[in-house]
Amino acid sequence: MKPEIFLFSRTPDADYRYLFPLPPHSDAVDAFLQARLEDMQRGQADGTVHFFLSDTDAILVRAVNSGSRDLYARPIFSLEGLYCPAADVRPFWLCLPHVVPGFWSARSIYALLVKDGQTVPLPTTQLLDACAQYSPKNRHAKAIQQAIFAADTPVSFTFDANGLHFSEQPPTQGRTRWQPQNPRQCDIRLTLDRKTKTAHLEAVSHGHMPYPIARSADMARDADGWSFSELESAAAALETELDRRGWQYIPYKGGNA
Amino acid sequence: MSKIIVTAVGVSGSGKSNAYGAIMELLKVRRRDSYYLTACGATPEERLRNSGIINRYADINQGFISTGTMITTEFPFAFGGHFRPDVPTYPLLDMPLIDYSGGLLKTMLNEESEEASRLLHRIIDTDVLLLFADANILSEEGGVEPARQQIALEINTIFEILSTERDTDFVSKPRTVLLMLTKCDSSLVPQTLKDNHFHGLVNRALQVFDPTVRFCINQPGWKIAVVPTSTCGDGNSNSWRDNNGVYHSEMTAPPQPYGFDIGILYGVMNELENRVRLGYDDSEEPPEQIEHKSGFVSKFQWRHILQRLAGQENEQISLYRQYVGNLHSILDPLCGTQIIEV
Repeated sequence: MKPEIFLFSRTPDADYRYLFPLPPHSDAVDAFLQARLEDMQRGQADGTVHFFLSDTDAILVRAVNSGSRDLYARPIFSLEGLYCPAADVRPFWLCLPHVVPGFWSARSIYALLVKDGQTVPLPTTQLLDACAQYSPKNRHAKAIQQAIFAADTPVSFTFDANGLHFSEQPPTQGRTRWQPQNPRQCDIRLTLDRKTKTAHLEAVSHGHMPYPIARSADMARDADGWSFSELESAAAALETELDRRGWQYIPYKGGNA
Repeated sequence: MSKIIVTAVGVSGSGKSNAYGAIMELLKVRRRDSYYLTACGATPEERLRNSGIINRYADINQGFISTGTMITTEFPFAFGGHFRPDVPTYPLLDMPLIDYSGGLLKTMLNEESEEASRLLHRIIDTDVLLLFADANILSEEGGVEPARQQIALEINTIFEILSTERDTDFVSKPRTVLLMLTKCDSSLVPQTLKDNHFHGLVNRALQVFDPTVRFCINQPGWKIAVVPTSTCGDGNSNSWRDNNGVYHSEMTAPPQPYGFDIGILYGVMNELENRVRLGYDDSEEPPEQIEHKSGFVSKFQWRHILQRLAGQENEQISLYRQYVGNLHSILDPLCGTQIIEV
């Protein structure tokens, strides 16, 4: 996995710019970062962690007061984070639960990256390890872990003092909705009623304690009995319905089932 | 609508962003002398949207803009006046203002950057240039040379390069340059420099920006003036310098900005006067019946001659004339005290 550190900030001498430039990135990421810069210009630098996922790449970013001051004693803000190319989004996503809580609660990485007005390179792994060690063991950290591991695919989110906020509900269908591995087995019973002169088909579960699953409409008796084709079509309709609900008709082969 | 381009040029920390706050406060909120700034736009929807953009940045009453500028912002302003009942009150000119991080000037001198080159071209196109000089740094004990290194080096170099360029529009068009002395309320400025309407400070600023000032004086049609300004107003702030040479300041009372509106109005006045004198207006190109032959008179003059011959004056030009008259009546009494023409 090769995410790269980027940092938009200033030194006391030189004005705001990318001290650690972003690698070539998508327009969506560019627009997202521009919006974050506008927020930072308006003074919104509370350290909220944003994970933004575009079609081709992803970034983890936050705007924060770096704790340093420039020559006019103005606070230096820093927009800092990690850029992740497309190929590594999946492993990056899976290591986020360990990184994000620590990244949120740690101080700005500006002090690590800028010393005496000069930029100092820092290996990405070192930053990730530091964040992982710094992660508090609280319920927000546990919640983000569960939510991210439960999600099928990466989704954009923000992480702040109130925990995790997904931009959209992450797809977790495979785990929340029960899908049977094998279709359940059932019988179909034909009931002929002499008094009302009607017939219907009923599907019941297969086994010792059968319970009703579906039932066809009543069919009236003709002069010379019930028509065979009508019964056939009713049985076919019932089987389609059973198939939709995950049941399979097992014809009775005689003997004690 | 025709356009007047006003560009602020100053190094990081010279007070550009706060100046925009003050300009909005003076010309958008308080509306001194019946001149005003409002949002520009072709339709009411666009004007409302632009007004929202401006308001997001404009609230000077929140205090100093206490962080450095990180992104380039364009304020879509329009300038107008309602000083006489027969003058229409709708805006006369579009006046987009642009705020950027002052470090761009340094970038411009050292490396290739798209943003820096955009700023340079804006400076080349500009009608009114506002040069920013920090009064704190001008009044430092070291004298002229250290201050020049800190705040004027980039600006002087840019002027030097642009003035020696052969085919550029920069020198061919009359312009107005205003040297804005910011932070004049600072308690770090010694009284000797403040006396007699900042006489000492103005002299020092002229020395610091010496190559630029000399260039502007020598250009025919160019005007240069110095305006002492402050965002906080005298006595509303507290400034000090710590042992590391870092300037600190805090606002102690609601801001009472001054000077910035005078600078803008002076710039507009001169630009409009030029347009009246040379008979041009960039809103629409008047049809030229007789073809202009280059070499004798400039295009501006030629158009003016044609209009004179036809005995008609553009409606916009006559509006300019009225504005110029009124602006003279306001600004002429201030010359020598609040605005010092060089």
